[in-house]
Amino acid sequence: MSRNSLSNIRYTLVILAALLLSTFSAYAEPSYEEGEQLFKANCTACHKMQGKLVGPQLEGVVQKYAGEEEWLAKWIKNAPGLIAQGDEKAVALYEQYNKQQMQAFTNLSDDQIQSVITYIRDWEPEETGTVVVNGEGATGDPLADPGIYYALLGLVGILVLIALLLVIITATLVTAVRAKEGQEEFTFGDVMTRARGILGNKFFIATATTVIMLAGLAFTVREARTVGLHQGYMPEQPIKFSHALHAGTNQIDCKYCHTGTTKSKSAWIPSVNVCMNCHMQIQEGPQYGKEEIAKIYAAVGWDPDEFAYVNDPQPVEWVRIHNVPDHAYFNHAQHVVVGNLECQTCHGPVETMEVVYQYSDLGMGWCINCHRNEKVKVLGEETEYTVADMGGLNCARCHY
Amino acid sequence: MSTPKYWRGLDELNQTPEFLASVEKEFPTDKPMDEVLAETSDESMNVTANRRDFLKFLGFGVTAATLTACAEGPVKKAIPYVTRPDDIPDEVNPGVANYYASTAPSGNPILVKTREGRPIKLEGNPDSSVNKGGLSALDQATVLDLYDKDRGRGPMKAGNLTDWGLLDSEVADKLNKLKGTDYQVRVVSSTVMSPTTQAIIDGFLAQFPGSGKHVQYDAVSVSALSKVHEKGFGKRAIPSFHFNKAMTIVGFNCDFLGTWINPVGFAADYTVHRDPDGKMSRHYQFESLMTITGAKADLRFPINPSSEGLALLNLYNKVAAKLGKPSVPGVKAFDVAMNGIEAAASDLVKNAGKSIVASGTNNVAIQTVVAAINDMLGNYGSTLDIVNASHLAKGDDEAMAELVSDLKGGKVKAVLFLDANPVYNSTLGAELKEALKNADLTLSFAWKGDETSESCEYVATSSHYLESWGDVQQSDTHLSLMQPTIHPIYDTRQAEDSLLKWSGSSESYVDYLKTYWENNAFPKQTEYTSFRKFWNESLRKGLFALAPSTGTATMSLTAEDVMTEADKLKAMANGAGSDFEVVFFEKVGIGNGDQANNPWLQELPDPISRVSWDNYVSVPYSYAQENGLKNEDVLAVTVGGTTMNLPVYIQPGQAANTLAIALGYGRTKGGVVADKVNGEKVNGKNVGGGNVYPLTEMKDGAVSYMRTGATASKLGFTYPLALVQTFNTLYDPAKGKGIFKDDYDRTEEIVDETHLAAYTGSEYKERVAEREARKQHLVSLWDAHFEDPETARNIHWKMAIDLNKCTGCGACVVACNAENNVPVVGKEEVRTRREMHWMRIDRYYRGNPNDPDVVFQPMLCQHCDNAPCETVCPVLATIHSNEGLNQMTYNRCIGTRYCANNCPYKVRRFNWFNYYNDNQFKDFYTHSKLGRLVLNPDVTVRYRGVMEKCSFCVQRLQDAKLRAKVNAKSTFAKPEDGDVQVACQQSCPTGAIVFGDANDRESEIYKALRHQRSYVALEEVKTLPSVQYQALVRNRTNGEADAREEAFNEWRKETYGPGYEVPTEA
Repeated sequence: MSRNSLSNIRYTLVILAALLLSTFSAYAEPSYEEGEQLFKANCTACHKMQGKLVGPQLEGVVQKYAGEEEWLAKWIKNAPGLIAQGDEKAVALYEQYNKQQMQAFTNLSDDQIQSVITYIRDWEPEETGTVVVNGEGATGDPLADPGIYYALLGLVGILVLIALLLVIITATLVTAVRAKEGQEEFTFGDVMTRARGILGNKFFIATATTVIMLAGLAFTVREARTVGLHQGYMPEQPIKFSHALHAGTNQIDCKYCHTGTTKSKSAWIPSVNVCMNCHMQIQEGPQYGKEEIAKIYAAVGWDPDEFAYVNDPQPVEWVRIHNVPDHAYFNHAQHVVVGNLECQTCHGPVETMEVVYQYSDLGMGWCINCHRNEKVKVLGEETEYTVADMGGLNCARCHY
Repeated sequence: MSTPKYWRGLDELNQTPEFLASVEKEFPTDKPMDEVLAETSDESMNVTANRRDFLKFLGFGVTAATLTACAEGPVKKAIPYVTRPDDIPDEVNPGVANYYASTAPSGNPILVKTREGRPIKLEGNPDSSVNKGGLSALDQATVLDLYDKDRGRGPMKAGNLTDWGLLDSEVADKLNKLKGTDYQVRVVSSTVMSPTTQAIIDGFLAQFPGSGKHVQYDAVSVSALSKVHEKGFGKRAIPSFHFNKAMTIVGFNCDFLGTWINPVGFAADYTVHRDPDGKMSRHYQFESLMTITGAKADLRFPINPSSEGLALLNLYNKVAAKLGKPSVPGVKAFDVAMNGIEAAASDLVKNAGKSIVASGTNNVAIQTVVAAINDMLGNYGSTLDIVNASHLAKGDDEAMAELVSDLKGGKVKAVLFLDANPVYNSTLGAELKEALKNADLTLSFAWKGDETSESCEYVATSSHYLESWGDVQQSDTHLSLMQPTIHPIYDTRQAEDSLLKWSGSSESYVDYLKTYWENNAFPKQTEYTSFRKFWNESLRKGLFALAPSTGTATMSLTAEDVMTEADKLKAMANGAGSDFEVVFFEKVGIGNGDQANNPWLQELPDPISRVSWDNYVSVPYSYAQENGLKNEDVLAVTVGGTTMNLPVYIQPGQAANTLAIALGYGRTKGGVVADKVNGEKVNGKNVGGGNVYPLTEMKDGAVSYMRTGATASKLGFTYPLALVQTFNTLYDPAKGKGIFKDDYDRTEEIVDETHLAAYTGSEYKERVAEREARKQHLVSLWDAHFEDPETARNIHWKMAIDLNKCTGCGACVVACNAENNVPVVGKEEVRTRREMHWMRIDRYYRGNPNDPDVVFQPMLCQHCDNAPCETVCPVLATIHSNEGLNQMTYNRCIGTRYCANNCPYKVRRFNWFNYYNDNQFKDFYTHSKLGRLVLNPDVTVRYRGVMEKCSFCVQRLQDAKLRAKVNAKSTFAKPEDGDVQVACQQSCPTGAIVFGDANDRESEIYKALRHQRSYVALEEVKTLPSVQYQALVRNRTNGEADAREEAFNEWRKETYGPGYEVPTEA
């Protein structure tokens, strides 16, 4: 084999190695997006970027540990392990936070932890605090504002006044003209006779009846359509759980508690052990103090003083707000994972609701409208098709 | 007179006025509407309504509806788990089904579908080589038994509930008193396939050295088979049958596709060589009754039960002659029509070593001759395996007889019944019941009330098998596990746990099971090094294969042995007199009667007789003709001094001079549903029902299910049967006039059948060419229905059903009922043609009623592209989907029933009642809270007044599509071929049903639809069905086919007189 060919091989090998390395490094590059997802799924239960939750605020944490990233990664991955090993810094932190341990995340890979660190490092507060709500309901129904009804009422009042004024003016003028022409004075009896003449007119009766019937029919149809719909249903719940506090202020991701949305037809009301992830530590709330949290403890049989599960558990009987009839099949995973919809599209601004109510009417018309109008998204990209184009109006998509 | 080529009942064959009138009407009118309106339920009033009342109700109803509509909806609770079990990922996902591997008591490995922790459907374990993914109707229905209202609710003493502590201490006391005495202890069980249960029983009995004994028996016994193999091979077992290796199969009264030993596995194996395009085996069946096995046979010969021995001896001699071996001397020459025995013998010899001779008769002499023929042909070691024997039946009839005499003699003082109900289902049941009074301790482990536990002092109520741990060894090579899929619903305890406790062990059965597997199964594999992993994996798969032994066995039966047994047969054959011979047989859907309280099974029409909900005496056509008998006439049958009054069912193809009565009826303590088939008093006589186990007799060390010397007399009144055979006629004979030629037979548009010689020759090709030519004339109003698969973007769901593979076993029907919440309606409603089954299996006869051919045709909604039902619905409740489904939208349906009227296939079902709260149906599962746990939460429970029908399991299609989309995170993703299986397809043991996306050119269905045997039913109405059938091909020569046709023509000339002209073949 000549020297030339050998060097050629070597050359090729080097290029190949470089290529391989570059792909690896590209693959291992920590990503902000991945970090954001992981953060929402794993961290938001105890941490906020701004403000203290169970754990400390995380904005600026990476900057604080500049130069010690390796230690930080170890801490995130397995804090209890570090403490057990007797790592000085770790033990100090442990003491500082009243011997409250951060849970281990050994399920995350080192790359994933780097992504989380990247996300925390590069995170910046959003400019506006407004909540972005997608979909049809987001534009808001102007008729929902009671002010507009008062304005309308006022307008009608003014019109009636004007009409009255005009009648009085006309009457005065007619009387004046009659007086001038020497005719009899216009009496109330005459008015009644005339009116009777008009009212007795068959054409008038037919028209009026038709109008009234049509109006009645329109009203009935409109009202009948709302039978069985419970938009705005806001029952009292056994625990005064505030979505405004948890999803709004604390910005806990919906899917942290409602895990079923990605895999099941039902969204799942979280089991009480999910509450205990945080409330083992947080024993007092800003609004209702210890009272409502005590109900969680009662349900799960937890004694906060002994810091142990002591009593028999008692399930919490929540009142179901969103009810779809038995003959209609709805699947959360279909809409959340495949359809890429935000929870708010159907459930409204839950993160502002102190008490949750039914935001959409959940009627078939409402379903169909969305299926007709909304473009299908695939992996976040909008396509040119609506759900209806894909057979989304077929009866047996929902009824079987 | 014009007779249809294919007919389902004699009334259809003879086109009686009653039949023609019934075809005329879509819905029967002999039941007044008042009865329907006077529904009695918790919600409505018990009144009969006249027109005025109707108007009052209407007014009241409208007002009430308006008022209730205005009211607030009911408050619904949502109660999450306190702690969701998630130690195993996705262990419980509300709204998502889980599948657990387990094993049915019959030995078939299963997958249990659970939702929110409750089992709702059973499917065969597709990885198992025991049942190959199929599951029988009986096994599938066991899920409903779990939610049986009549289940045992806890331990009982003297018929009253007690607590476990008391029962344990009293049983222990009584057992202790027996220790060290000469008194005997017996554990009586049906076949124990579980190695651990066997070990526990042995351990329990070891406490009584010399006095403890385990007695195994089977309700329907094959003990002669194992006895002969014990004698011949020194191993008491039944051989493993490998029908998949056989090219010639000769069956003698052996319903191996329906009821014999392991019908599901046998059917799967049998079908392997039933491919007319590939290898086609040849199946001869000699039988007295008409069975589904006989229906599938290429050549079937009706013979009397008592002639079986003679036929077998003739076969033996003919085979021996051809192989140059000594024959049995002094055998009377005997053959059936067309020299069937001679033909069978030469085929057997041609395929020596690749053939099976099997007899279902529980007689030692017969089984000896059968074993000798098989041995002569060299079948042992290839198609029959005694080295790796089957464990599916271990019963010993003699041991059972001995038990009764020991009990009578006062020797046995303690009897424990495990999975056994011998008071009901053994020959000596009545004597046993009496003899039990001599014992000090009588105990049953029954999980539901039965006749035996009724006669026992204690009932240590066991858990249902879906609540239990266990293992099952089906054969020397197959093991599988059983695991609980629900917490015991009542205060029950597994029998194994009880026995362990009474053996002085404190170990729980699940620990015992694990230890046993660690010591016995774990060392036999090399894949896993840790037992924990091995255990978890075995539990996940449910199966464990043991290495087969490679040794060979030689039969040691001498020629003298065979001669001795043959002598008995010669005597038996001569013993046939002029009286009737009666056969007691198992029905496919009733089995041995153990599941008599299961309404799914009672309502499942028998595949052959198409009778549901009742017992009857099956009589041959010739006898009925001679005596002017009609279906439903009551016959008093006297057998061995016992007289039973049973309605008549005339069975074409049944051997002359033979009567048949099914086992499994006459349960006295079966439960409310079982009570419904116990008959009733008519004209002062008890008619129907009837337990025939006591009529069987011990003969030569085995229970004989045949008796001679029976007499029958007509009683002159009738008893109604829920006989569905001529319901749902697919054509109206009167309507064809003027459109079709007078002699045009429309039944030929329903069934396509041929024989192998014609199929491989040019004859069938002509038929195919004609069919192809007709396709050019297909028209549709909707272009989309002719979508070219090349360019199609949508899925088009279609189904192909191979009539050649369908055995008519009814597994699909029960699977459909379970999957789709199909209500049970009861006998009365079935009789008035209001059965609700979405899928039925039409059974057609063809030819001479004394010896007809049988064709099974599963019939379900055909999802026509040009659907006649869709065009007549005034409210668009049934319309076509873009995936080719004929959708039925219950919430839109107003119940005009036009669609059913317009359906040529008669597959639409109307909900006449609210089956879930109408008191008329209060005994069925939909009416009880417990029973409703079996309902599939993904399928709507239909309300009164709406139409329903097969949806192609749209919930499964939607689920498969969703899974594909979620996995790909794309709404454009489609399920792969095979990802979706509809319920009927899944349950089919023979894979007769293929389903999938016809627009996917790589799919199985794409190929199946283009098969040359593929045809559509009632092609001339041009509905373009999405369900296509594949023609039935019997392995017959042209000569054999002609001979049978000739026999039919002879019969027709004889029956319809000399003026009758045989119609020419179209």
